[in-house]
Amino acid sequence: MSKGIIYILADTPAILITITFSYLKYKRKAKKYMKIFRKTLIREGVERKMAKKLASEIKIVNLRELINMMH
Amino acid sequence: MSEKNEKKKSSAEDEDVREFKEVMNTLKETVPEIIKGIVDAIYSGTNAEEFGKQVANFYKSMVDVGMDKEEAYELTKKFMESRDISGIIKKILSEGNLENWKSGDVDSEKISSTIKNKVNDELKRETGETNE
Repeated sequence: MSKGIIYILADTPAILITITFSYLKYKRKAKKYMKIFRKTLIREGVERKMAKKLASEIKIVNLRELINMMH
Repeated sequence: MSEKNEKKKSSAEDEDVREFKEVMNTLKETVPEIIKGIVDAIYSGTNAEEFGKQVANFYKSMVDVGMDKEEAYELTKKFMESRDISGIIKKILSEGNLENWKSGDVDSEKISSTIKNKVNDELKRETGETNE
């Protein structure tokens, strides 16, 4: 069993780092999505303040929900 | 006898380790792929623009017929909730059942009747002004 523990210790940080980076990338994309959405609203003639208010209504799926999605 | 037992134990351990390595490799490869897939499917720039146009048109159409901005905002919010794919996914996941969501708080009847009333009011007002 000691071999198994060594593998856990060796692999876990790599997995955590990979998942963290993917998640950060996901968050960045989601923010970009909101920005494009807000800019499109303004370009289409919605007032700046209202566009900001509407963009804040966009729901971003968080990590817990992402993990649920994978089940 | 004890040597045989030790050999058996060692091979079982090797088997466990091999399985564990497979699981770790799958985790390493699959999880980022799934996240990437979700990101590409939901949060693409084209989707954001398309959705932005739809929402802007919806909001403007209501403001154009003379609806109060706050009321238009509330209706647009509901329209967004019913159209935003990430919102839909979030709602399904939080409630755990698509059927619950379908019968949820997005009252399309109410939205359409409010719009109809506003349009009718505006038409009546316009025809009244023309007759005068």
